Parts: sequence; C-alpha cells; structure tokens
Amino acid sequence: MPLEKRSDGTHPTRWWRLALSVLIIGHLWAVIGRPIEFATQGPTGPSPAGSLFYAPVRGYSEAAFLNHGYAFFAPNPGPSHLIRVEVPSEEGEPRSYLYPDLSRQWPRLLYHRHFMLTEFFHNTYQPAQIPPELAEDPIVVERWALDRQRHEAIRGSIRRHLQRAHESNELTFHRVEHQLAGLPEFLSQQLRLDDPQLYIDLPDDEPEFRLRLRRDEPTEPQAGSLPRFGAPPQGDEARPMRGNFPGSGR
Amino acid sequence: MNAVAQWFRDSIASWDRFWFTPRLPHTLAVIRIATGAMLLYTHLVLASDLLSFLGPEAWIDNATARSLHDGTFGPDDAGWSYLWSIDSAAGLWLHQLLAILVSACLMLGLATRLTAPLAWFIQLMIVHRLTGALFGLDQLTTMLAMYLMLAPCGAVYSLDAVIRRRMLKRRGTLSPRLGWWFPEPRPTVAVCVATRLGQLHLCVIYLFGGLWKARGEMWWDGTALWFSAANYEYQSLDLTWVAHYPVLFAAATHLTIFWETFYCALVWPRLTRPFVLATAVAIHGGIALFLGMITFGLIMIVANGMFLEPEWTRRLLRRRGGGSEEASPEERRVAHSPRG
Repeated sequence: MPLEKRSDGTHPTRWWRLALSVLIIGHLWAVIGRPIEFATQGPTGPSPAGSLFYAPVRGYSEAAFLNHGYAFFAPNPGPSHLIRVEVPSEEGEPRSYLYPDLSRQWPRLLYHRHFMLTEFFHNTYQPAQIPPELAEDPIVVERWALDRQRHEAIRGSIRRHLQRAHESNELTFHRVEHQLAGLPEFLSQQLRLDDPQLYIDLPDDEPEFRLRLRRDEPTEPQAGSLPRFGAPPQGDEARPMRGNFPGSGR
Repeated sequence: MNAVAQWFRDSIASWDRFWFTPRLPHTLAVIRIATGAMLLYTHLVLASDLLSFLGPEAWIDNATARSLHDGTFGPDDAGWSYLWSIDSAAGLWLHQLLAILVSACLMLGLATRLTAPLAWFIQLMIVHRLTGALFGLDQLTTMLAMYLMLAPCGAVYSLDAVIRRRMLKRRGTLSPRLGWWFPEPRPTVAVCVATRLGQLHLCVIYLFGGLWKARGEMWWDGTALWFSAANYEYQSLDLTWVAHYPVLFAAATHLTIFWETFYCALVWPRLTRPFVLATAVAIHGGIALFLGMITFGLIMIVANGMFLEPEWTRRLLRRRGGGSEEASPEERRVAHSPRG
C-alpha cells in the first residue's frame, strides 16, 4: 500500500512504521556506504573496515547510482586534462583539435560532458610499461595489467569515435595536461590562463614523472627556499585523488 | 533501568516524529518542477549530439561501457543499463524522445504518479550508459528524481491538480483509484519520508565534500579558490581579479570548507538554517556563474530547497501569485477533515 495511504491523518500503524524504518535505515546505509569506503582509501588501498561496512549495500548502491565519493574539487583543485587530436591533411601540416573546446561544443553542458570524458580518459590512464620497482609484486602486476587493459579499451573506443568524427583513419591523439597558473607567476608575469607554456603533452608511452621533471627543471626552487604563497604545487600533490572511475560520478 | 527504558521510548517517539509526521507537498512540488526542468534540459542537450554519447561509435561505445561495469577489468558492479544493447540509431532516438516527454511531464506535473518513477528509471539507465561523461549534476538529478517518486509531488502546482479540480467540479467526488492518480494536496507521511531522505542525503554529500577538502592543503592555506578560478576549462566568467585580493579569496576558501563540513549540523536548528541556506545559494550561485557549471550550481540550490518548510513555500507562492495567503477551499477542507 502506498505510504500516504497509511497516514490517514495519524501515524501509520506500528508494523508499518517498523517496516518503513528498516527500509529507511537500509537506504541510508547505502547512501553513506560508498562515501565512507571511498574516503577511507589510502596509498595501500581501501580500509578493510570501510570495505566491510559498504559490502552489504554495495549492489543496491551501485544499481541505484548512489555510489559516489562526493570529492568535488578535492582534496585540491587540480589541473585539467584534455585530448589533442592531430588529423593528417593533404596540405602537409596536420590539423589539430583540442577537446573540450567551447567554440565547437555548445551549450556549456555539452562542453562539460566532453570535458568529463577527457578527464575520465586521463584518470583511467596506466602506463604501457609497469615501473621496474613494482614488477616484482604479482598482485600489483595483475592490477596494473587489468587497469592497462581498461585504459586501452577506452582508448580504442575513443579512437574509433574520433576516426569517424574526423573522417580519418590516420589521426593520432594524446592526453594534454593544462596546468594551473600559480599566483606569483600570474601577478608578476601577467601570465594568461591559456598561455601555451601551461600545456604539456602526455604521450602514452612516456612515464608521467619524467615529463613532470622535464617541465619542472627550469623553475625548481633553490635549495633552502620556500615556495611562495599561491605557487602551484609540484608533482602529484596537484592531482585529484583517483577513484575507480573518476569522472563517472564517484 | 527505568531511565534507560524511558530514553528508549523517547528515542522511538523522536524517530517517529522525524520520519512519520504528515507533511504538505508544496515544497516537493516546487522541487519537482525544477528537477523536471533540469532533466528536460539535460536530455535535450544530450539529444543535440546523441550518437556521440549513446551511439554504436560513441566516445565510450556500448561494448566498452558494458565492460566498465561487468567485471572485465576487475570487480564488477551492479550498475546496468538496457542502453548497452541498443545499437540502432532509430531506437536511441525513440528512447531519447521518451526521456524528453517524460521529463517534460514531470516538470508540468502531468500523470506524475507514472512519470516521476519513469523519469527516475530512464535517468538511471542513461547515467549507467554515460559512464565517463558524468559529473555532480547527474548525481543530484538522479537523487532528486528518486525521492520525488516516493511522494505525491504532483498534488499541487501541476496539471494533475488542474485535472483533479475539474473532475471534482464535474463529479463532486473521486473514486479511491482516481484519488490516487490525482492526489489532493494534504499532509502525508510519504512527503515527510521523501523530504527527510533528501535532507539527509544532502547532509552526507556536504559532509564528505568537506572531509575530502580537509585532506588537501590548498583548502587550509586559502589558495583553493584561486586555483579553482585559475582553471581555464571551468571558467565561464573571469574571476582572476581575485588574485589582487588574497585575503578575500583565502577567506572565501575557509568559509567554503567550514560551511560544507558543518552543514550537516548547522542546517537543522532554526537559528542557523537561514544562514546555512543563504551560504549555499551564494556558493552554488558562484559556481554557476564563474565556474562554468550553471546546471550543477542550480540543481544544488534546488536540492537545498528540501529544507524549506512546505507551509512557507505555500504562503510565498500564494503571495507571489497575487492570491490570498489563506488556503484554497480544497486545502481548507483537507486540513480540517478527520484525515487531514
């Protein structure tokens, strides 16, 4: 019987209240289960207690799309991740397209969907080669292999879409990181937010830490000096925490 | 021992009062209009590039979307969508048309008993298909649609209410079945349960949003707002002038994390609720205007409406509509009947 039929201007019967209370508690458990599991992850993986708490309601939470971590702009606002597409042209110079692009995706919501896709592509990235220091651990290797396969599946899907959209089987694409302008540079150098030096290419086959070192070298602070207020964080500090499927709403 | 028993009885009475006190549907009806409008807009925007997102050669195609959920690359999850099996462009267009019609009906309050659960279900199928292209907006619209379908949210400010009035004028009374399809705007337990679930869900969202921010140093040193403003891809209006006012953006950063973390406690007392809700409007309004997420900012403000008393909503809209603040004849009858 529908809920409001039980009200009749008074309380539902005791048994109805009991049944509803059980359902309410179960639902609230599912609402809070995933955020707890997500928040209790560390560098070594999820907390066993957090996972145990979430396990009984996991299926319902996932099916009803309640499984989110709610880490908006957290733990720190990080750089953006885009996709650059190079389409060979008969004139010689390849045509270059950057996704997302406000001039080609309108309205804003459509642009934002493209932006979330490029972030998703980046967040599911796993390097083509596992770092040697991790190759000894079979569990890590197995996890890396699955994550790499997942990234390749997504890459393949995106490639097929772009090939159709740009009518070219020869196109190439790669991830691009648009780094944030630090406050000192912005004020002292009048740096524009879309200054070309803030974009760094992230090819698939080169480990990211090497790329970061390369870019960081000229501006690395001197030993003993302190970073200035509003300076962009270095390395992984700038990156949002990765969930299983960031960008999918977690 | 008696004290423990009394505490237990008091707790159960408080629980009952919190969850099962009949409540008017007016606030939920306004949230229904806004949520329906947002769903309609998101479905229309998706329709503008439908096959790029749902088609056989979408950014994330059907096989890939399915494999992200079915355990191919690790533990499976229970997210499922029949859209994974639809490759035909005609089928996808028909489905999208249905999504648009249903969300329009939800907004207008037409056949709400049917269209509210249908709107939620279709939205659920779409979000499980759109893996990779989702963000907070989708979480909030799905959540609101879920709670709206639990309550007679079409009882007022709706075409259902117009149809009900006309039928009553013609027939004098409605059968229980018609009365269920076209509910009267009386206080019900269903509205209370739906509202409480929405309120608590919102508290969870803010609490974990705040806790996550507390793990980042930029929210502590006050630079997070600068780095949000300096993100070119999010920017819709230029906010970089705040660079010249470090005290301003640092204070706004600290206010944001404080408000978000303690929302779940401060939104309940009547004394602090207006300030908490006003801050919500300011922060989400700022996100809507400056950070390129108009839809997300608006839907968060709508969700905060869960904390508005239905009596207050009813009086406000009656006044805005140029009518008396008094209840309509039907509302008076319901309010004074033994069932109301």
